This record gives sequence, structure tokens and C-alpha cells, in this order.
Amino acid sequence: MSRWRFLLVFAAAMVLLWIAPLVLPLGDYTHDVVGLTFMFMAAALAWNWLGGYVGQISFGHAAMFGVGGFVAARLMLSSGLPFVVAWLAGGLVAGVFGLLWGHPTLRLRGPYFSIATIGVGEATRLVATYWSDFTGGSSGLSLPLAGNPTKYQLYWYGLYLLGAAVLISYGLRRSRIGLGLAAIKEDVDAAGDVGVNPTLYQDLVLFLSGTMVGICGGFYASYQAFIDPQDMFSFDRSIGLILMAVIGGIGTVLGPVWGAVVFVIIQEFLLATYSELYLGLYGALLILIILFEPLGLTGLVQRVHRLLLRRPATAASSGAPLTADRRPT
Amino acid sequence: MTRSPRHSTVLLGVAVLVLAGCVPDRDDNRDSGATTIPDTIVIGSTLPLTGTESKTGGRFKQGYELAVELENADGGIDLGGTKVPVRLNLLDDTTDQAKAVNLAQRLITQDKVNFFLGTYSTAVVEAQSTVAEQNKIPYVNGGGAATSIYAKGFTWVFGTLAPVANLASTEMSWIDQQQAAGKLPKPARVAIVWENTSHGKDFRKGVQDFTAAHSGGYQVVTDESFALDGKDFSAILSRVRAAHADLLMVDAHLPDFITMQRQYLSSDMCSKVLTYGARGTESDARSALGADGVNYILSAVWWNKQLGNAGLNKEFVDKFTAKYGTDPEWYQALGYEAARSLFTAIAQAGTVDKEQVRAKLSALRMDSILPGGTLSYPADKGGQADYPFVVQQNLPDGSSPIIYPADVATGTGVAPNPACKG
Repeated sequence: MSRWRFLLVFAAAMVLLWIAPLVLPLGDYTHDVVGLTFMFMAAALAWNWLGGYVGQISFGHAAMFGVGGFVAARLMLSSGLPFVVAWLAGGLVAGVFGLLWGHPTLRLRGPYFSIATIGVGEATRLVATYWSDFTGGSSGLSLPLAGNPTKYQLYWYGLYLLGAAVLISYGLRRSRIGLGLAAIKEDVDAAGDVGVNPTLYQDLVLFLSGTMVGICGGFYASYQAFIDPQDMFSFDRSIGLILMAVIGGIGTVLGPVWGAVVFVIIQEFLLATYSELYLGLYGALLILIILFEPLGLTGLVQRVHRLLLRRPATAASSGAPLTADRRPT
Repeated sequence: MTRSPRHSTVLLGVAVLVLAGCVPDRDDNRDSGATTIPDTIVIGSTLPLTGTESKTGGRFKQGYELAVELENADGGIDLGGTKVPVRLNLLDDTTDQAKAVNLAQRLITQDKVNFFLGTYSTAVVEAQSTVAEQNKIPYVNGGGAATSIYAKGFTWVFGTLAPVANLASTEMSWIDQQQAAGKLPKPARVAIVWENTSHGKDFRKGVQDFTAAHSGGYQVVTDESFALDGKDFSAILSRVRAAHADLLMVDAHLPDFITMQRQYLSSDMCSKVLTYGARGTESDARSALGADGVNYILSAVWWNKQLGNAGLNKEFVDKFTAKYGTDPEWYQALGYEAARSLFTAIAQAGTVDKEQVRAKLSALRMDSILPGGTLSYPADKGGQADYPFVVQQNLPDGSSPIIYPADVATGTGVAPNPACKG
């Protein structure tokens, strides 16, 4: 898809989604859940910048989500900063925090990096749980209702967050940096030989990813008006981001967006009945995707598209990741 | 004149940017409830029916369901001469704060329940009560005791549990009596171990305030916190042992109480006085730790079935025993009273209008099974009930008599723990 066509479709989609709640009879609950889904989409896209574009699978992004959320919450509670400023500040702190642990650990590749991120995530959760002066400990923090946006309004803030994440995803992918990231994903040593600075590029992407996920944490704090370390820093949250990306299509520009939709639909459908069953369903979905369609929903759609047009698969025509390890079909 | 795709995109981009500056809002003065009489009054609720607090959640469910059953046995709540049956829409929040929040949001905004009965455990109630306040729906809970829940200026949240700080000071008052009688050393070395929740902080404050007010009588030698749902308390217990504490004052919920007490016993520790706050008499603890494993544990609770054999107490105990075949504990009693107070306020309002029911809850003063015999939600306490605690102690014969205060005592407490050597 050409740049202008992409931007046109993007702008049209944003306008339609902006207007939708004003003209469609969405119930209160659906309206709120859609707003929250926008945030999950943005967070999944941000995870994908590191996990999909660079191939560094992080199991510790909940750490940035939590740091962003708690910094934003603390700023709103203690200094009365406007919530948008608090979200941005929380995001920046989360980005810097990501750099602190990421700069040394990004030298690791593959499973070694992933294992390191598990440690980072769990260590951060434990510190946050015991740092009760800052996080409220196991009781968490309640945000003031006055001065916080209503759930109704958060729909549009979530939409803006998603818009920003989509533009960055697209921009990264199409830019010189995107090519560098693809090179790093393919072979980090070879990338260095052709002039790509792997340390700088990976640090930059982790900072961007951490900042966006941190802003999402701030949004979530405002949405729930209450946050606690067990929820914000939970391993489930990190796994959730990975699942959204894998279901939708890891490494693709928009795959995590569709993955987030599926993730939230399953979770909401089962919330009031079999609230723990969704983990089993996600597990089954993950196995099916890995076995039959590594590019997730995006790959499935492309496969159907190719069949309809009777075209052979090419990475360039499909918008698939530049370095995706596609199974022969 | 034809426009290039670039121009169209720029125009759309400008439109997006313009829209980005705006966030629509709506009038938040939503309908506070139908003024007509409904066919059924639907009460939304969540409880931890699975997860770490599932045992306690199940007990609260019994209390809620008994209250609903008794109300419906009489035809339902009287709304201006018309009896309207009550239906409880109860979901499992799995002891998860985020899930409790999301389910409450769904019950209120999608299922349109009329009123809400809260979940159990301070941490979960603290999270969930925010949803009730945001949506302006009367929220009565029997599971949130920390004062921080009621110190936020919320006007739609009401709690039947008296403050935890009072729990600690009531236990300390009994200990003080034993010390005055020469049964405990003076000064007594106190170890405070508390879960790092608002509940635990209140407990710690209660003990600290008491010891500060009785300087010379007590010396705090250990002050440790732990996270909920702990698996290993050996490091904390080692520090308590090293500090040679006479009084081990712990605040823990049921799962942590059982885990910590198991490790306390296996470490061969023995304190002259041992308490886990409100925990100690639960049958689950006896089966998990053995009858000897819970001997002489002191606990202060919001209700005990020995409080009276007459009136409302007798009616509650008899009906409960008939329905479930076991004796009620304070958990069921508090759930029952939370539901009964909500039904009373609805009947007094004579309508399901949320604002009017909230006003009736604020002004409520009703006969109760709770200590003191009256339940109200005083505004100066932020809607949290305030009444005296009763102290009970597990004895080797399997009984747990009320030992304090004297006017309701059904037995005599033992201090120091006779099992301790030296």
C-alpha cells in the first residue's frame, strides 16, 4: 500500500471511529470497553516495535506499563497535574526505565533476552509491591475522580493514543530505521558490518516502545481510577501484549490491532461466566497460529486475498514483515 | 479543478488534527432510577468465589443469599405498599481487583442493576467502590474495613465493618488487663507484622497508638510488613524470633494466616500472646493446622454467635443453621447485615430511586445483630459503621469464647500461652 493511500485510509478510519459513538447506539459498557480496547491496541503495537520489528521478544513490558501508570497516578495525586501531562510524564519515565534495563540486556539475543525480561518484570513487580509509600503496596492507589476524564471521554483519548501508535508503527516500518531494525532482526553482526548501529537502534526502539506502553499505563490508571501493583505489573499483562501481537500477526504494521480486538472480545465474552477459561483459549489459539499461520490474522487475510486473486506470495506485495520466517504454503 | 490524492490526504489529516483537539462529553446527570415500581429489584454483587479468598467469599455469599431469601419469603421489599421481590445478580471476581472493577462496571452499566452489594477483602473493595461512586449507585459492603476506603469523600459507599484500628486497640486493651494483672511482662516486647494493605496499615496504627499512649508498658521491637498471598514468611518470623517478642501482633487475611501460622509452628516458635487480627477461629484454619495448631490464638471480630440468644441474633443464627446446617461466623453475619441494611433503606425510601435510597442509607439507624445492637453509617466516618469489637480466644477444648469486653464475655482468656516454655 502506498504511503498516501495508507494515510488516506488511516485518516478516514480515525474520522469514522471518532464520530461512531455520537451516531451509533453504543451502550455505556460497550463504549467504555471499546475505549479500553484502543489502549490495548496501542500497547500491543508498541510491544511489536521491539518484539516484531527487532525480534527481541520481551516478557517484561508490564514493568513499563506499571511504571508509567504509577508515575502518572502519583503525579495526578500529589501535584494535581492535568492527566494528559501526567500520562506523558509517566510514559517518559517508563521509557527511561526501559533503557536502564534494556541497554545492557539488549546485547542478549533470542531466548536469553526473553529470560532476562522475565526477571526484570518480576523484580519490578516485587519492588513495586513492597514500595508502599509510592504504590500503596498491595492496596494500590485510588485516583481522584475530579480532574480525571470520564470513561465516556476516554474513548476519544484512547483513539488518539491508537492513532499515534499506528502512525509510529507505519513510520518506523517505512523509515531508514525500519530497514536497520529488519537487518538487526535478520543478523545483528551483519547489520553492524553494513553500518547499522544495533545498540543505538535497539535502545531507540525500546525507549519508544517503553514510552508508549507507559502512556498506556497512565491511560489505564485513569480508566480504572484505581491501580495496584499485582495488576499493573502482572506477568499476565506482559503475556497479553505478546498474545495480541501473535494473534494479529507479529512484525506486521497493523496485526497487533486485530489481535487486541480478538483478545478483548474473548476476555469480555467469558468475563462474567468462565473468567479464567480465556487463558486456555489463548493457549489453544497460540498453538494453532504457530503451527498453521505464523503471521496470525494478518497472514490468514493475506492468504485468502492471494487465493482470491490467484497471486503467489511475496513479502513486498503482502505487507508482511520484511524478514518474517514464513512457512512454505 | 481536480485534487490530487495528496491534497485529499492533507485535508483529512487536518480534519483529524482538528478533531484531536476535541473530546466530546455528555451531561453526567443520568437518571438516578425509575420512579415507577419495578417487577423485581435487582441487586448486583461480586464476591471472590474462586481464588485466594474463595473460602471467605463463599461465606459472604451465604450471608447475602440468606438475607435475600428471608426478604423474599415475606413477598419482597415493601415499596409504598407493594411488595417487590429481590434478585441477586452475583458474579465471581476471583479475588482479583481489576476483575472486580470490570464486573461491577458491567453489572451497573450493562445489566443496569438497581443497587450494589460489595465484594470481600479490603483491597478489592477499595478498588471496586470507585466504580460505584463514578456511577452514582448505592454500594453497601461487608468486606472492606480500612478507613482509607471511607476517607475519600465518597457519598455512595457504605461499609458495615467497623475500623480495623479499633480491632487492634480492643485486643491491646485485653492484653493491657493481663499485664496489669501481672500475667505478662512489663514492658512487653511487641512485634507488629502487617499485610501491606490499608487494612494492615490501620491495624499497625491501632497497635502503635495504643503502645504510644501506654509508654512504659510496651516496647515495639519489630515492625514488618508483607505482601498479600505470601508463600514464605520465614524471614519475617526469624526476625520476630531474634527480637524475643512477647506479643506477636499480626494482621493477615485467612490464606496468609494459615501459611504464616504453619511456618510459625514448624519453626517451633511460641509467643506469650499471638494474634492474627480478625483471623483465628475459622474452621478452615483448624482443618489445615490441626486443633492444637490454633490453640490460644487471640482474635477480635465484628460479630460472634455467642453475642446473644435473643431477638435478631437468635433469628439470624436459627435461620442460618436451618438453611446451611452449620453455625455462622462473622463473615456471614456481616454479609447478612450489609444486605439487610440495604433492603431497609430501600423500604424506607419506598422507591428504587438511587438518590433517595442513598439518602436513607446515610440517615439509617436500625436494630442490628452487630455488637452494640444498632447499625448506622455515620457521615463523619465517611459512611463506615462504628461499633465495639469482641475479643475471642481459641481454647484447647475446641471452644472460642468471647473473653472481652467483660459485659459480653462468655469465658476467660488465657495469658501467657501455657504451651510456651520459659
